[in-house]
Amino acid sequence: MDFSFTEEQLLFKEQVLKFARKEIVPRCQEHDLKGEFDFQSFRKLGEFGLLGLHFPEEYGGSGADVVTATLAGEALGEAGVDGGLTLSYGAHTYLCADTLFRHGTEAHKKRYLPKLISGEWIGCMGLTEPGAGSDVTSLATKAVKDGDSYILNGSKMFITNGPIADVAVVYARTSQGKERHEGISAFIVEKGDPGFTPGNKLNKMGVRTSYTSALFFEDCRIPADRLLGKEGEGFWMSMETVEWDRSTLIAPFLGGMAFVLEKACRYSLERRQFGRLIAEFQAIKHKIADIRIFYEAARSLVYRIAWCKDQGRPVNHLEAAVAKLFIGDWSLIPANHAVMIHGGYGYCHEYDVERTFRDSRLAPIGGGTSEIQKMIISRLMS
Amino acid sequence: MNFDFSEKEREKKSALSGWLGKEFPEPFPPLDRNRLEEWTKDFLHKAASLDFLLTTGNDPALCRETPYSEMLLSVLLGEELARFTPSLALSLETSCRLFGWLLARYGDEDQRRRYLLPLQQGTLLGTVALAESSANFPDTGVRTEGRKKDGVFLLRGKKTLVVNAPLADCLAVSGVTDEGRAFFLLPRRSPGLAYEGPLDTLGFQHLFLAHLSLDDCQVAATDVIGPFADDQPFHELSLRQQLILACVSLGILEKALFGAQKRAGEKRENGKPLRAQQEIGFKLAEMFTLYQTAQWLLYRAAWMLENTIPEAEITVQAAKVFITEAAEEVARSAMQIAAGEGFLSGNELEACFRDARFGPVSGETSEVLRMRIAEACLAKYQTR
Repeated sequence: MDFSFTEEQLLFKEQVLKFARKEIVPRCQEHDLKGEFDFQSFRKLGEFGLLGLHFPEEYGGSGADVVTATLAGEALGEAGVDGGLTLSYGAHTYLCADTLFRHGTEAHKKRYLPKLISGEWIGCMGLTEPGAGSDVTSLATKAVKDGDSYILNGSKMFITNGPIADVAVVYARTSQGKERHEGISAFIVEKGDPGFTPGNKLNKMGVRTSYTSALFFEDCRIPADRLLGKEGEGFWMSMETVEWDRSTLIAPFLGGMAFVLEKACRYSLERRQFGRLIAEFQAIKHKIADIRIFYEAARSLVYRIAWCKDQGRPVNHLEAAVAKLFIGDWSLIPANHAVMIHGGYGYCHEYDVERTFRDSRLAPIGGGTSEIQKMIISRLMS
Repeated sequence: MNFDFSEKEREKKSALSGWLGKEFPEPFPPLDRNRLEEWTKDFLHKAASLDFLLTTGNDPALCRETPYSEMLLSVLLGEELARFTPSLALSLETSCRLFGWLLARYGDEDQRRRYLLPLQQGTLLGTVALAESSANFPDTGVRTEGRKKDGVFLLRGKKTLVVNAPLADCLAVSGVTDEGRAFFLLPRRSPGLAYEGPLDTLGFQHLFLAHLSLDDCQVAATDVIGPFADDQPFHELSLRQQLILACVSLGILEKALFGAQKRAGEKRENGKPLRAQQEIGFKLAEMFTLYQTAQWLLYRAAWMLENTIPEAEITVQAAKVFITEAAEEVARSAMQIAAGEGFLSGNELEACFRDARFGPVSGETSEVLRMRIAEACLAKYQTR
C-alpha cells in the first residue's frame, strides 16, 4: 500500500488553492447572497484549465489523472470556494462533458468539448425527474424516433446549470425493456432546440450560486445523430457518472471540512470570552478536534474511488456508496461545529461558515440520498 | 498511490488467517481463567512456527533505522488477531510490537539476546509498564524513580493497568533517573515487585491486567534502557501504542459487524430475514460504513507513520479516537440487532460490546487525544 501523491499532484493542488483564494473566493460571498451564478469565475476556472482537467489535450484538456482532478476539487473546497460554483463545475465537467467525451462521436467531441472545456459553453445533465429522483429507473421522459429525428417529451427536475446550459445530456426512455433499467437512452440537447425549455431557477437554501431548474421537453425534435452510443445504453452511462460523483464531485465537500477547520481555528484564536481566547476552552478544542478527525477519516474513501478509476477498474458500488454516505452525513458535523464555534456570528451571512453550513446540507441529498446509499450498502453487503 | 496490499502484506495476512483457522477452530472456545497462562504460553509457542508473527515490527536492523518500521504490516496482523480474539491480540501486540520493539530499537546487544530472542522464539512474554495514577503517559510527570546506588538502580513507584501483568516474563518499566527518563527491565518475579491483580474488568476477559508496586526493586545497570536525553523514545512508543489500540478496536468492530450481519440473516421476522427489514438493513449499512472508514484511516495512519509523512502524528491520534469510538458504536448497534440474545453473557456480541468500551479509555483517552489534536491544529495558525 502506498498513500502518497506524486509531487506533481501536490504541486497542482497547491496551485489550485492559490488561484482559487486569489481569483475566485473574493467574489463568492456577494454572488451567494444574491443567488447569482458567477459567469466570470466560471470562465476563470476554464482559463486555469480546471474545466478540462482530465480530457485529452487535443480537445483543450490537460490529460490529468482522476486523483489529480479529485485533489483539484478538494482544493477548491479547502480554499473556500462556495458549494454552488463547485457544484456547477462538477455537473458541467464530469456529468455532461465527460459523458460526451466517453460516448460521443468524434463530431460530437469536436463540436462540444473545446467550448465546454474553455467555459465558453455551460453543460448540464438531465436525469432526475419529478417522479424519478433516487429511483432513476422509473424515469418517464420519452424519446421516439421519427425519421432522422428523435422527439422528446417529458420533464426533468433539480438540474444543476439547467437555466444557463448551452448543451445538456438528457436521459429518456426509448423502449420498455424487461428490466426497468433497460430501454433508457442518452441524447444531446442544445439550447434553442425546438420544444426544449428550461424552467426558472429554484430558490435554494444552499449552493445558491449554482442555478437549478426543471427542463421541459414538449415535442422537442433533435437530429437522430444526437443519440449518444446506442439505444438502451443510457442507464449504464448514467451509472458511470457515479464514479465521478463519488470522487471529484464530493471532493469539494472534503475540502470544505479543511476550510471550516481553518476558519474555526482562526476565529477561536481571535475571539475572547471570560478574559481569555475561546481556543483555550476544552469544549472549543474538542469541536476543533472532531472537525479534523472527520476530515482525516473521510480522505482515503474519496482518494480510493479516484485511484480505482485511474486504474481502469469498474466502479465498486459498495465502496462508492460508503464514500458518499460518509461524506454526505459526516460533512454536516464539521460545518455545524464551525458555526457553533462562531456563535451568533456563525449564524450571519457575513461569515463564511454560515454559507458552508448551508452548502454542506446538499451533500447527503444530491447525487443519491444517504438513504439510497444505505439501501445499496445493505443490499451489496449480503 | 496504491490502495492494494503489497504481495508481502497479502501473503502474511493470509498466512496468519489460515494458521488461526487451522490451529483454533471457530468459534473461539471459552477459556478457563485459571488455565489462561498455560493457554497463552502454548499459543506463543505455536505462534513461533509462523516466521513473522512474533518478529514483525521488532527487527533490530530495521528498528535502528526508523522508529516505525513495518507499522502497516503490524496493524494488519493486529487486526487479524483481534478479529480472532481481542484479548490475545492486545497481549501479543503489547509483547511483540511494544516491548519487543523497545528492545530492538533501543536495547543493547546483550539485552536483545536475553529478552528479544526468546520473545521471537515464543518462550517469553513481555510488556511495558507506562501509566501511573497521576501521570498520563507519555507526559512527563512520571513518579516512578530509579535511584542509583552501589552500581545498581533501586526502582520505586507504582504503575497502573499494565497489560500482560502478572503473566509477563519481563517488564519494561518507565521511570526517571538523575540523568533522564529510562526503561528498567524487570523479570516477572523480581524482589520488591508486587502485583495487584489480575484485575477484574468489564471486557477483555482473556487478558491479564494488573497494577504494579515497586518497592526498591534492584535493577542492574545492564538492564536499563536509557537514560534518554529527551522524550523521543516515549513519544514513539505512545504513537505505536495508539495504533495498536486502534487496530485491536478495529478487530472488535469487525467481529461485531459480521456477527450482527450473520444474526440478521439467520433470524426471521414476519416471514423474512431480519436484514430485509429496512431499519435493520440501514443499521448494518451505517455499521459497514464506519468499518470501511475506520479501516482505511488505520491503514493510512500506519503508512504515514512508517513513512515519516508530515502530520502523521495527528492522523494517528485521529485514528485512535475515531476507530475506538466507531467500534463502540458498531458494537452497540450489533447488540441492538441481536436484541435480547445480544444481552446474554456468553454471546459473542455481548463480549464485543464490553470489549469495545476499552478502546476510548485505554492509552491516552479520547478526551486527551482530542486536546492534543486541537492544539496541533491551532498551533498552525498561532505561529502565523
